[in-house]
Amino acid sequence: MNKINDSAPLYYKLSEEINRKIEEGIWPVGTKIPSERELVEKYNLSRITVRNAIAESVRQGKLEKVQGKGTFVLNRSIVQNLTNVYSFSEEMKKQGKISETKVVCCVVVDASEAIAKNLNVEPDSSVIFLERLRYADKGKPIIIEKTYFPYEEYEFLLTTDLEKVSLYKTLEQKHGIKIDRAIETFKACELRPSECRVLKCGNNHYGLMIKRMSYMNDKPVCYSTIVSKNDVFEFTIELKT
Amino acid sequence: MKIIDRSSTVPLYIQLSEILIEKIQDLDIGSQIDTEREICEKYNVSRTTTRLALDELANDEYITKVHGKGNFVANKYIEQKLIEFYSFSEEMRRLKKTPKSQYISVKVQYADNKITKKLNVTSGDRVYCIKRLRLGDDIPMMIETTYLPYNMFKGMSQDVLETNSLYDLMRKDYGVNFDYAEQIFRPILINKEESILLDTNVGMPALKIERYTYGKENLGNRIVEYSIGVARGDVFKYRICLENKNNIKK
Repeated sequence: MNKINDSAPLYYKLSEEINRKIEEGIWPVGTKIPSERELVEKYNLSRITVRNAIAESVRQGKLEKVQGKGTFVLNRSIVQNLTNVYSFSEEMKKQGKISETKVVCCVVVDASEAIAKNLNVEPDSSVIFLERLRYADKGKPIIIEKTYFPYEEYEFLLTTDLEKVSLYKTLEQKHGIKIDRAIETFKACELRPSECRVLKCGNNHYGLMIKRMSYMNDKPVCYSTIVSKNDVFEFTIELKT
Repeated sequence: MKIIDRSSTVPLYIQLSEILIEKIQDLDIGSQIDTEREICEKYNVSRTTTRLALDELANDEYITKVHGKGNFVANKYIEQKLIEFYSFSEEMRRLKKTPKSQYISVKVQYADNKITKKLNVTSGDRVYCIKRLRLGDDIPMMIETTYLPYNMFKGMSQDVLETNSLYDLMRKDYGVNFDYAEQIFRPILINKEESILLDTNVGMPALKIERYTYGKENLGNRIVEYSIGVARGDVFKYRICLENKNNIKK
């Protein structure tokens, strides 16, 4: 195994090894990798270590889990090609949908299990929690956006004014942080009572829930959940084989 | 079996949510879980604690909240990756589910203004209007209404459609090839007619999916299919990977 970084945790070394096998074509693109058990036996490591190693390679976009089938070497050439990973607010502004942003809070919280996993930090460690409300014209709130950042390197957000400037512009221009990859999932959802109150829903309690994980150079930058009200927001996607 | 430990530093609502998750493993999908009041009484916790715990469960997709009715054990979501051109049947098979289509109607009709624009045909042209219920493992998942230009696909009938995949027919029998589509997703609420077909409740969230399928160059890249799908919100979620290819390192 790679001896370059002996002080790295075991799971990370295994992930490096997995990546090496992919890069050298030993595990060809599109093929299924050995099962967890096979990896446990082959490398003589615990199941948890193997699982964490796979998760790390998935995070780095080298592997993908296909529900019901297994873990495969990702074919990066077919990933959605966008010249710029868009800033949500820029997109919405372009469509004329957002006119104002209010910061509800920007505080330090303890990372839950799920947030810790996504940001690759220790559970219960400190993370930055930024909650923003987006308005369409006439002061109508349409989107609640909650974003989590690792505390280290993003502490400056606590003292940044995020109402006047775009978050992503600030990250890019003032701190050299440019998101180059993101994975999003979305679905229709029923809005929670608290969300209904904030978004002034009336009788319609539905919307779109988007979860987005953003990376720069394979390092987690932030994890966001975006809830939009009713059908204020629609997704257009190109499918190409 | 977990029980609530009031001396623990872990917030009550988190402990409660873990207990409830454990209980859900023994329940059938679609079955109703205890009401808020029942949970309060059973575990001797406040209404607020119960609500927060249930919010966690809904957020992690263990339960589906149905307004005015209660909380139900959720389906495991089907995650559809949005990159390549896909068909419902192929996706079901990929997930080891058996796809099935129940034909509701197959008609030839004159394109109205809206369909004329969507299919980009000439006003007054005829179109096929094919309405189907799509199922996976016999569970209704989506209602699909497909419009095809009649001139491109003469001779299609319900009999033929019922025994073949539509896309197979289009490609093999009519030589119409396609591998590119634009899809627009929009959240909606299920109406009465849809709720009956999908065997779910009126007012449940769903996704309305409009698909424009484009033929290959030899067809002038014209639109060969326009379809409107209503996909159950408690079954489908979609995944996109976005990447800035300009700074890919190798």
